[in-house]
Amino acid sequence: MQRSRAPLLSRFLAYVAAPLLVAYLGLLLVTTYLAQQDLQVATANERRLELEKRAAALSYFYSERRSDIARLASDRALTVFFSNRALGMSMQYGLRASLLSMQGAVEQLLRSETIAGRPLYLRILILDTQDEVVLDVGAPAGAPPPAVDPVPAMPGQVSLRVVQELEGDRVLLTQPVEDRGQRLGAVVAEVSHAEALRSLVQTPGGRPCMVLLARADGAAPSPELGAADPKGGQGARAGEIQVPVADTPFVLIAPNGSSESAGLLVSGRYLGLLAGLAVVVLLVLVIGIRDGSRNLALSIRYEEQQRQSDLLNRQNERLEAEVAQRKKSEAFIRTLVETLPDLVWLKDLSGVFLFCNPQFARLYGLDTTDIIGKTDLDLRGAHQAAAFLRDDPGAIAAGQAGPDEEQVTFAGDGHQAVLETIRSPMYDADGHLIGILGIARDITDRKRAEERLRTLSQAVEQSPVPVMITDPRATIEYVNAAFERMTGYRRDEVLGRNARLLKSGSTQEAVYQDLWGTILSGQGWHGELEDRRKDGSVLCIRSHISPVRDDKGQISHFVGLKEDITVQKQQERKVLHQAHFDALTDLPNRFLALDRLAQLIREARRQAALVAVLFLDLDDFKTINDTLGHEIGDQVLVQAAQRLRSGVREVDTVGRLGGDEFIVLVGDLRDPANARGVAEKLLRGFRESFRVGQRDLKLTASIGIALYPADGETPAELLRRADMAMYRAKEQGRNTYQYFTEALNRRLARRLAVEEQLHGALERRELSVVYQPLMELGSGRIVGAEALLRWQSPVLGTVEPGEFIPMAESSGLIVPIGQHVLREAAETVVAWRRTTGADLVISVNVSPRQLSDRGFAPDVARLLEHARCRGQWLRMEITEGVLLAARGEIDDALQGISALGVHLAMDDFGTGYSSLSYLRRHAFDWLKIDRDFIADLGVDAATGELVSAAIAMAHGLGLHVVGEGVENELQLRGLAERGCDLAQGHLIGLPVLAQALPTELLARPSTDSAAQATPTLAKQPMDIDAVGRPGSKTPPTPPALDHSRHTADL
Amino acid sequence: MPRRSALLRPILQLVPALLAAWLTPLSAAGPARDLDQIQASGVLRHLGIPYANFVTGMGSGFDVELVKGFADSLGVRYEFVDSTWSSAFGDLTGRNAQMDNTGGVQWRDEVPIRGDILASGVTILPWRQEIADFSAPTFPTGVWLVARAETDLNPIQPSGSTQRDIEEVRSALHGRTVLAMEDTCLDPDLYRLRDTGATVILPKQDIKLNEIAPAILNAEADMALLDVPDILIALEKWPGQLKVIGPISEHQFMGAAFRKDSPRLRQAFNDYLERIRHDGTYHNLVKKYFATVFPYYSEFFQPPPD
Repeated sequence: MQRSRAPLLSRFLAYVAAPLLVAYLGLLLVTTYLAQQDLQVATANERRLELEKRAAALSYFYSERRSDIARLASDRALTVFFSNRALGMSMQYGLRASLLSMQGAVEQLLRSETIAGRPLYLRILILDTQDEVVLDVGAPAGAPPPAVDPVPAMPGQVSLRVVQELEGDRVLLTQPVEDRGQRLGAVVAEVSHAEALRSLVQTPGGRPCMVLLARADGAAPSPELGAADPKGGQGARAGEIQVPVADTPFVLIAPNGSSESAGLLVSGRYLGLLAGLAVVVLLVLVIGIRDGSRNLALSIRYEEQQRQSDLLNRQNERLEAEVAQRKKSEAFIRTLVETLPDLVWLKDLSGVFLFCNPQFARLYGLDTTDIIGKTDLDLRGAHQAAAFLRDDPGAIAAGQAGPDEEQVTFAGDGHQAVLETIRSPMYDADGHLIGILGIARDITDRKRAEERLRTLSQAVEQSPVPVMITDPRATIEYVNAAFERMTGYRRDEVLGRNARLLKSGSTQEAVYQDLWGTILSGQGWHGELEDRRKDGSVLCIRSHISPVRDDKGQISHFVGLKEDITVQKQQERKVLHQAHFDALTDLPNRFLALDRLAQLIREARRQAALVAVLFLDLDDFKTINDTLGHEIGDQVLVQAAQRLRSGVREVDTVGRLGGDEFIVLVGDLRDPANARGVAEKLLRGFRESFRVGQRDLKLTASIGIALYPADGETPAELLRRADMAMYRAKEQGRNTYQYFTEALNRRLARRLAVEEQLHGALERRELSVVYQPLMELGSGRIVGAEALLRWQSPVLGTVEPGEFIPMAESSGLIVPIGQHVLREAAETVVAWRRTTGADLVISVNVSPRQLSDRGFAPDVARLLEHARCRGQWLRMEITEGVLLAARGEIDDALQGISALGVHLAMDDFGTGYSSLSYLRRHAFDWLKIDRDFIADLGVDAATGELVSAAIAMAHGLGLHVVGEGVENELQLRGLAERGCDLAQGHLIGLPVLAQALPTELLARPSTDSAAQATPTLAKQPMDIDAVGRPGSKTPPTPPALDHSRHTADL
Repeated sequence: MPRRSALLRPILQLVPALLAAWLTPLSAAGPARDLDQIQASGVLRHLGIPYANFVTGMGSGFDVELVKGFADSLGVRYEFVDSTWSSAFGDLTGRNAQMDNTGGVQWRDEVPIRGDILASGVTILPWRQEIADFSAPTFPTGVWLVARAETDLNPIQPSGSTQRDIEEVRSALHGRTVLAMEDTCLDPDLYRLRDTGATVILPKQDIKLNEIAPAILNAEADMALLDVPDILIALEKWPGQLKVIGPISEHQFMGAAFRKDSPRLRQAFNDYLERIRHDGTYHNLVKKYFATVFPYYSEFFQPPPD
């Protein structure tokens, strides 16, 4: 069975299986050949793909270098240097600082960029526009500057050039430095090319290179890659793959790998062999079948590789695009985040910092690299960190947290800041939560400003000073509460309205022009305005308005501070009025009147016009005051003022100088006679009685007129001369007017001279006392004398008592002069009595002013005591006028004198009121009949009767009588016949100095009658001169009689 | 309220000044003190005026940190006292003074003493040395003439001699307007500026030194005197807009000023200064506040050899 089966099997194998086997082998051989071809293509593609990846890496490497150089070229230090250098500045004065700053930037780049632990940049140069080297960092000592590219065709682009040198290629990157489109210079950097190639191009593990780098321009490839021969040219050679490196002048070259797979290729020669080996094949049939399966798998693998290759290519392209885009975005975002003044950080969900910008790192005084990887617990105190850790989940839950404010202290410089922080969850592209993003902003300044603003707002709002703020067009934008109180306007009533709402119309337009001119020029304005309250009342305010400028320097607002000075202004006006107007009559006072006179003079000077000054004094007004009281007097003054006011034009001035003196100023006169009409009109105004209470009072006035420029050119001069003219009018009988004349002026000059010389006359011993004898008519005996004052001035000559005594009275000099006379008289009478032994008495005239002095009687007492003179030896003669005043001090003085024993005589009896009551009330011993009566004695019978009556009356009252002014025998006899006691006059004796009166005359007792004595006496005067010098042969000049003799015979 | 806030914000500068005229009281005086009294009182009062990066006015600055460190070294509290250039020496010594036109001191009214040390980028000048004692130099400086870029005056080329350079700059000033500032290191009388025929402009208001450069850019004058630290910062800040014409002064130094009756305080400060120059603190301070100036004067800023 087995034997029969074997041939069958052999035949089967020989006729069936063998051909099948051979066919199968043939088919297998062809299939294998084809698969092998496919494998070669796949290998080449795989090699190309690998090569493209490396080319992309190399391209990216150089793109980063470009970024480095571009960043360096745009570094501010370079811009600063070139900008300042372009201005011509020297290195020594300013430029060196920029250069050093620039050098710092370059060195920073050199230090920061490394590859495989070695510097990436070998050398960086800064060139100017002439390609002169400004800065060369990293070059070996003495190395020449490299030849650089001309300016790149595209501004702002970095050129990359390979320079072939003996030791190999060097890659130079050149970037222009520009500012605002202007080329300032260039940055040239030399890259460590070999290092880049080793890292990026060589296969891992440093296996001998199967990849070559070549220059696209056909130059020699880099020798750093070692084994390969130089090859170049365009297009790949058989068995090679070439891939250009984008944006560089390089290509990568590698064998395509076909030789590796070519060794298994089956040729036609071997087919026969294979057929002959069919048995062998048969034997290895199983193996052959299995190989078929392998071929199939190989084919499938090829298909898969092809598909993968395509996919990888596409992915690679997309990846490259994404990488490029992402790099751009990342660079942009990194620059953005790093230059943001805000603090930015990112934490993962466990609180670990994934990112922060330098501003955030500064908070801790650290670098960003020190922050990343740490948590809040590592960086902050536990308490604060806990707060953060607590807040972060809240931010995630809410989708956002904040803004929160926190006070932090920067660890770097220690300054404190307020940060406003916002936290928000961060998600990746798939929407997965990846962490928490934090952004914090330093709001310290804002907070301070807000705080200050809040404080100031409250201060302004609560300020007691009214504040108003407007826009530049004066539209009110703000007022405070004090403003509301001051004006009565509510805030809502004024906001949005123009500030002219407050204008009262009382302020002069010039003030507003000044105000606006000042504040629009940017200056503050101070001043006073009159505004109007809401109720219409006028409000005086002191205002301070200042412009406020905005950031651009433009005026944006005006701030007005106001102060209500209404009451103050009212008081000022009142004070001003009081200072210029008479309180009683409301007429201008002396000050204002003279001021107006000065104005009138100025105007008149310009217009060549005249000004009349009318000085008006009410006649006998003093009597009204004294008799009816001051209240009545005041009413009279008020009415007089009204009449004066109505008697002149509106433009004329009526003023009150004081008391009952008024002044009327009439300007713009063309003729001096015009003043006459004014004066007459004024006097006419007084014709009507003054009705005061129930009384009708008659009153007149006297007016003096002075004219500018004839009578004076100053107000004081004109006033004084009008005053003089007024006195002249008084002298002329009152109720009239008088122009100032030169005669008046001369009188005034004389008066001034006399007054001036009178002062000191006593001290200069110019005043002397003379004595006129008094004769007792019954016995003819000289019983005394009257002391009389004489003034011999070396300047004025002899000045009559009638002229200087009134001046002494008015000036008060009469008091010391009177004392002097009293002292002289007392001493004289003591001397006379001692030398003669006769009972002599000296009469002395006493002035009202002396009697008004409360110390008068005591002074007299001391004086008498000092002279050892008894009171009875003196007789004081007092005029009736003294008694009219009837003042208490005069009564006291008279009583005091009487108490001293001094005799009192009433002088000038008959010329005044001759009131007998005075004689009775006071202790008078003597009565002196005025010389006017004596002069007519013996001539006029009526006078003789009057004298007789007066003597009889005096005797009836127990008084003795003296007749003065006896100048002839007739008068002497008349007095003697009427029983007069004593006589005095030229007939009896002229006034002489004390030592000149013959002692024997005084001492001689006489029992003769007056008639008998007369011849003797009549001879005496012939021996005495006017000043009492005995023995003079010149007859004395009789003293001139004076109207005011009653006050002049001291 | 936002409207009112916006409205009131511009007047922040103005209203206080106006209200102050009504309301402001005067500050109290303090007695002169040396080291012992300062340590006993526990406080060191630092007089400063906001100026460049010496005193920023924000609680920081080169001199602020310098004096803070000094106060720490003394174990006392630091207190900053704000002053002005015209009153700073009065605040220190109790009597105001200014330079007269001969370069000497013109004494003025007596005022309360408000501080113990004046450190604010104060240049050491002869007239100031008559008023106060100065520490060892804390900072190098000098005064240069700066101009707006478009000014037709060109920077000088250094001759190798500062004095010759100064003369060259001065000879170019005739008929020019130069901004200067009295009572400071930029006082025109310090450099006899008026002798050059230049028209000297003094600021209308009490501006700060670091406002001089902006004033030039603002065309308030053709040129200005300015100290070197300020210039270097300004050149970096406004590149191409300002140019240095050349020097007006020789090399100068800044220092801290002390009352003449505080010799021990001054000595303590000098000791402190020497310490921090050696330990690097001073070096870091300069780099922190004057990064630009540091390389320029690097020789001065290096710690002295032991």
